[in-house]
Amino acid sequence: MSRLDDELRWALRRREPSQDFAERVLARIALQDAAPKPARGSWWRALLPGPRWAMVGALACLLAVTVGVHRYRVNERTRAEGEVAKAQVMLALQIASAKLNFAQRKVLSRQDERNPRRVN
Amino acid sequence: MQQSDELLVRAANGDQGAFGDLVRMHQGMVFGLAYNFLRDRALAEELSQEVFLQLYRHLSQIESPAHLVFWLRRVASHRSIDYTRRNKRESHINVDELPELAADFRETDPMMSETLRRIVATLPEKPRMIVTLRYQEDLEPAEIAALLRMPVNTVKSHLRRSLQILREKVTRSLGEVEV
Repeated sequence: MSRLDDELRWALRRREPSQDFAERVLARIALQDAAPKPARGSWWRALLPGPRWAMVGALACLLAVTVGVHRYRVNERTRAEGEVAKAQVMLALQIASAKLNFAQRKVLSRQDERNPRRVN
Repeated sequence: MQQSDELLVRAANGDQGAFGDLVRMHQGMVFGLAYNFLRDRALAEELSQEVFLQLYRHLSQIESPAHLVFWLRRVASHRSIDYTRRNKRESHINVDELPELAADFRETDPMMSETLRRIVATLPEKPRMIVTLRYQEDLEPAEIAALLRMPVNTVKSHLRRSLQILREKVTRSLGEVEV
């Protein structure tokens, strides 16, 4: 047992708090006991009371409508683009067909010039 | 001990007077731990009150007077350490800046005690609490280890290192005087 041990024991000895310490502890306990406690079983109500449920429902509806409108618009745009593409293909086919007809007429008229047939 | 047992039973059954007696019986220990650790009287009183309020809520879990003492020491220690960590209540005292000890210090010299307390206050939280429990409550390393939930060897090494720091400072101050 060194002298330092003895000095530390003295320096770090137990201390007493203020005289009315225990009374203040009891007063705080009495205050806590007197405070109104939340009713049993109401924790879930506190978490999600009626108006909040309504708000959650309204938000869910709004979200569903927004998503629905967005998907409808996407479908509409896709369909319109499809229509435009179809029209372009038809036009291209028409042009190609007209060109072929023109070429065929040219070929036939040349053949007629080379081999004229006399009709009596 | 029988009286403590009876008090405990009465307090657990809702006897406020008995609980008040339990507080008076153990307030020196709880307040002492908080005060020696925090070095702030008002703060130590507040923290000690919270320890006893927590005890009031957990009275039914206390099995015996010995368990009560263990429980109070453990809660007071952990609350003091947690408070310091939460509030970054670091001691700004630098050991080297402490006033040198009087060369002719005698046993229980108030200056010596104050200087030792200030040196202890410079220790990190865990070693500081270990030193406080060791010297305030006269606990063995194994008991401190159980309270602070740490290995006995860690407690021993913290204690050894803390005492080395304290001894170095005191020896430096007192020269050849054996401490």
